[in-house]
Amino acid sequence: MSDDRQSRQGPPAVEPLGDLQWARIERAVYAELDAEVPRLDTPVRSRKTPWLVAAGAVAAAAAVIVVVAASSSSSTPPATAVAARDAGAAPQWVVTEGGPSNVTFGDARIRVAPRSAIVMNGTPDDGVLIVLDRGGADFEVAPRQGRPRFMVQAGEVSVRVIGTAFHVERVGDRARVSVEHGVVEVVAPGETAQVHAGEVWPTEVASSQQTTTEPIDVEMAPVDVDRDRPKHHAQAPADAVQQAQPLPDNNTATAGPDDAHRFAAATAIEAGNPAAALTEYRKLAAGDGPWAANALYAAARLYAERHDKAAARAAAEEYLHRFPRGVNAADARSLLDRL
Amino acid sequence: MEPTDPPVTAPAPRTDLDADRALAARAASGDRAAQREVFARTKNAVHAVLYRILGSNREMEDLAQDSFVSIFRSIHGFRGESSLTTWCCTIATRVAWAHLERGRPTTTNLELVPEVPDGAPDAARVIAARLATQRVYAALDKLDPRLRVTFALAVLDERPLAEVAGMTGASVVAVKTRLWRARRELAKRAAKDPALSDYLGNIDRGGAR
Repeated sequence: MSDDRQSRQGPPAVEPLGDLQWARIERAVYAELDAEVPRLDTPVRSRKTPWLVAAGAVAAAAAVIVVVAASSSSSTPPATAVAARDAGAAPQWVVTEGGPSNVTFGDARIRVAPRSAIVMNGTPDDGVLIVLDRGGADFEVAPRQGRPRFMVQAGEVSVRVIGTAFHVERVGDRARVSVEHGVVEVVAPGETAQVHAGEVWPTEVASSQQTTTEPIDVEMAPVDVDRDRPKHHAQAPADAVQQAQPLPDNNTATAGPDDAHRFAAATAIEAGNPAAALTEYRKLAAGDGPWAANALYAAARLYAERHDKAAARAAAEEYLHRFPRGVNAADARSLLDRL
Repeated sequence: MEPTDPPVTAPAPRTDLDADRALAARAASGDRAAQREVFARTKNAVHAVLYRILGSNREMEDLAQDSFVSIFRSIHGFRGESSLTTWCCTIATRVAWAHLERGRPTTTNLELVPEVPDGAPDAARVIAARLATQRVYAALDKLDPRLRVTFALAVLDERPLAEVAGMTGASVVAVKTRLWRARRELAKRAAKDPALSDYLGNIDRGGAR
């Protein structure tokens, strides 16, 4: 058939979908089959059980929880509020393209990053479930003591808000959470970690098997807040890290999963929080770990993208000085030429 | 439109159909391994049907997901009168049809057409074919979904009319009528579009089934 089709100038071959796309589709199919809940675009049916509904959806689709506890709530409002959400019960979409949008929803302020989409469910009086469909968003939520619950779901990660300022970024089916104020406790199969203000938590969920085997409890108690306790970075299984990340610059197998996580996390938040990404890149680059070179070049590239030519030049030159034969050496020279 | 087993002109061998029925029964019982096998065996065929009808991979992930959710929710009704793959393609056809009826734009964007290297063999011919394909789908966007789906399955996907009838829940006579109407509509547009005219001419010279 194909020869005949070619001779007749028929339509070109079907453009195939990639393995990752198929994996996403398959995961989504099973999650939808498993979740005996309304679709995301349907209203919450019962005011008495919206959080059980949310719990079912999350339990079916994922096995990761992030509980956010606040030591304080941010007092810095978004620059502008362009949309005041009607407190009706019907879910509403906020979709951004080239620029961000600031949305108020009850006592919460949400800044939806460019090229992002959220679905707002519930009401400020009865409880809120924000579903981050794509992209990223910054949230400022007043302390919830005595107030209805406020939850954010981003792919396989759920964030229960006690009162804090934080950023959630979707990366495919995964998500990254960075906390501006407060403390985040991450609960995932086989690991529990706390991430403090100024840190990010990357998750590495590679397959539906990993995400559907363990039910989760979204009703868990908030964590005890203690800024001074030793910090513990969450660590995903090493194989998941290796699958998700590029090889480090020196092409060895000695890359620590923590560095790999940090690099991946910085990459993930570049679009939504480039300053934090740069900080993380610089921290990694300052060390002598296997990800230092990658991070240093990434910093140079990101500086250039942000039109900070001096910093970009300095970082690129530092890269060439420290890693003259690094895999990004040619890229660094090219970057310097462009600068 | 509830999915039903479509008739086919060349039934799969009995042993294959028996195996399909057994696999479908396991999948219907919630056996995840069986569901994975169904997914793996049919995903390319389902994708091909969706692609032929819609003309691009835009929104493909959503539509493929919808297709397989529908497949697994309906698989208890699979009776093995056609192959499991054909049955899944029938459901995918109906998902695509519903998508078209919702009025979503589906035309292939120029930037979605893969680039062909300058030095590639027959590069000019491949580029011309792709541009012509783009014109065809742009023209199909203007058609009634019934006509579009029929044309895509019978002409672009080269399926026998009886199979198209089964997949669209229509009689063969109805399929022929729709195909004739689709060609007539496309011919009107081709009168103003030489590239589309050439493409349709090539199809006709290839022989209509």
